Amino acid sequence: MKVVLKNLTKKFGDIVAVNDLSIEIKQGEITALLGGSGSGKSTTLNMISGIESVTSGKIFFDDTDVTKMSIEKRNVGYVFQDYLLYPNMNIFDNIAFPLKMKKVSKDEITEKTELIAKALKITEQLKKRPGELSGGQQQRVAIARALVKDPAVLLLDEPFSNLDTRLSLELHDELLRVQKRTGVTAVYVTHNQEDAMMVSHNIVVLKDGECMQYSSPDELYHNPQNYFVANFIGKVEINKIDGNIVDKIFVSNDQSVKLDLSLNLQVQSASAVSLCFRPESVKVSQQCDFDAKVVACSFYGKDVMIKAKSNEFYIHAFHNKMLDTSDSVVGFCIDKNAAKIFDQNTGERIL
Amino acid sequence: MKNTKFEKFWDNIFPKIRPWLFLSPFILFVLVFSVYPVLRSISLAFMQDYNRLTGNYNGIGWGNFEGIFKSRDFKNAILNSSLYAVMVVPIGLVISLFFASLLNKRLKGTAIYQTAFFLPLVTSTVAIGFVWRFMFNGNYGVLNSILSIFGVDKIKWLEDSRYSLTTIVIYGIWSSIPFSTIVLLSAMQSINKKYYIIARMDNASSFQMFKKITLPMMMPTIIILMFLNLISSFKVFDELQVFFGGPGPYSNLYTIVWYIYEQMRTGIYGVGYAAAASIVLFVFVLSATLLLVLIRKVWLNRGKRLVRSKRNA
Ligand SMILES: Nc1ncnc2c1ncn2[C@@H]1O[C@H](COP(=O)(O)OP(=O)(O)OP(=O)(O)O)[C@@H](O)[C@H]1O
Ligand SMILES: [Mg+2]
Repeated sequence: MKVVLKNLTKKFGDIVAVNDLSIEIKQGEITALLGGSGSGKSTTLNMISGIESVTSGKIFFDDTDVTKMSIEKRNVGYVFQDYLLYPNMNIFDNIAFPLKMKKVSKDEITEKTELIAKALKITEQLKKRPGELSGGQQQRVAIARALVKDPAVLLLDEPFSNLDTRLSLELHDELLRVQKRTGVTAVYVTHNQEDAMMVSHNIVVLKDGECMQYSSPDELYHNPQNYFVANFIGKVEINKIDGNIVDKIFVSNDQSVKLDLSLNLQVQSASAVSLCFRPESVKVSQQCDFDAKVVACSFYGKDVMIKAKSNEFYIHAFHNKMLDTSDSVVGFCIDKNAAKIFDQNTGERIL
Repeated sequence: MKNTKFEKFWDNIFPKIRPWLFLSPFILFVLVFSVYPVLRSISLAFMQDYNRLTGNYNGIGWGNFEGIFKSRDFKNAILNSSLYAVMVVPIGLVISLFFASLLNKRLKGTAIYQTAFFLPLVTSTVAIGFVWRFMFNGNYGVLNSILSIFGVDKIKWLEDSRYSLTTIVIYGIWSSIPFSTIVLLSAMQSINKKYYIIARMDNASSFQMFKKITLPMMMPTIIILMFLNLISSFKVFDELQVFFGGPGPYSNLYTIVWYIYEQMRTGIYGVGYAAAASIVLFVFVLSATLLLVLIRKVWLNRGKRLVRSKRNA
């Protein structure tokens, strides 16, 4: 089922938690709501589930307007960060509980519960109580319980933040697999961009309750629509050089960088802009766009990450070997096709 | 410069005794008012025919215990105290649970109710007891007025011996409610609200939520309250004095504490009996407590036990 949010707004007194949000969450996909603390992720999710009322705007499940529908009727599956399993029921009964409440026949309950338990690899645990399971196992049970009732949409609010990195990876995998198998539409809230990138087909980047960009992880990384997204996404901060555009040439404030962008650029000239490029889009080489002093080298997977300092800015780049950090000045080459330009005032993308 | 041997000695020894100096007033207090009386009553319990005037006694033995267990009043006391505990503890807790869930609903003026609930706790039994005497009054008491609505004849709560246990049980339940309610309420409020959201999404009814979430989450607190209420059930005393001016209208309502008190006051040889009865009371409370500790343990480990027994099978 697809979920459509139309001009969704939520206010808590003077605080605008979600501001005029209009997005369409596609059927059968995992869509991540990504943003910093207080960006309105949970509030959006809670409005979809019916926990929070909306201040204005509408929510549709397919073509049904559910804006005023009660929690019970929406048939959503919810997974919180805390596992929230019923403490004195065993795992089987925990998973089967939503079905029992729906008065499904006994045989069907057993069948469905065992099926979903198998999918989440908790068949062994069915007779145990929640207290005897590890955090990872408990969260598997919570996901199973949310999925067993064939929910219209599966909502997850930072489901794996309590788990260590390994386990979190494992459960992300599991989530992907189960989602593929059931084809359920899922909305996944996280503040961790790597998690979002890993599991979701599409990502909504939120800031102050507004959508900054809604696109695939790949688009988000390589084609950010504004400076906020460019800066927010990426394990290593994107490189940024402030300057102006003069006759389709970018000139940095200290004049040390001059980059001819006439092939790609639409505008003739602009002032107060930022040139941005990812660390992998800049190469160390002899004679090139600008020089900078190497200040740090560190291992980073198969490459070495270099941090270099120019007069006015720092630069991060990947290189194939360690460099001398004592006073060595090296040249850097920017990949013009990967370079982006943003307006410093509005944050809008110019190139 | 430290010259004398004494000064050096004092410098060495003083840091060691300083903590004890600070503690000494309290230690003295405990020794005089707790440790000594306990030891003394144990010894008195085994001194047969102890004469409180002369201090003479007739050898060491179980005589006092044999004596009290032959006494009709003491048997009466044990029966009454047990009946009282069996009724007051569970009924009081169920009613408190009900009030706690009402207060937890965050109705308007919850703070006022919470204060009102706490008020009886800080008022003396005697003052409250006198108010209850009016309510229990056979002729114009409010209790009978209420009952008359349901067609119940006037009951002489304070004079009719058939009703004296019921009278103090009603009062006991009432007086156990405030404390239990406050404690249960705070336990209830510490339950993660998201549990109820999940349950609502699962289409659970309010009753299901209470049974599957509230009750199991509160069980440890409920068990602790059972401990505390049980112990205080064995200490019924003040209300007897206020309601009946004695152990019931016809000396029919002895409780263990009243029996001890009476033996202590009357007769030259009563001290030994009182001491023996206190020890019986102690054993009673101790075994009830141990039983609850056991229940608590079983409750907390029930899941693990299940698995272990299955593995062994
Ligand atoms: N019940 C509430 N009452 C008042 N303000 C609220 C309430 N819930 C959320 N807010 C406010 O709304 C804004 C968005 O909160 P929300 O919980 O949606 O953020 P979030 O993106 O989930 O953040 P986090 O990553 O910290 O969970 C915040 O400023 C928060 O303080
Ligand atoms: Mg949140």
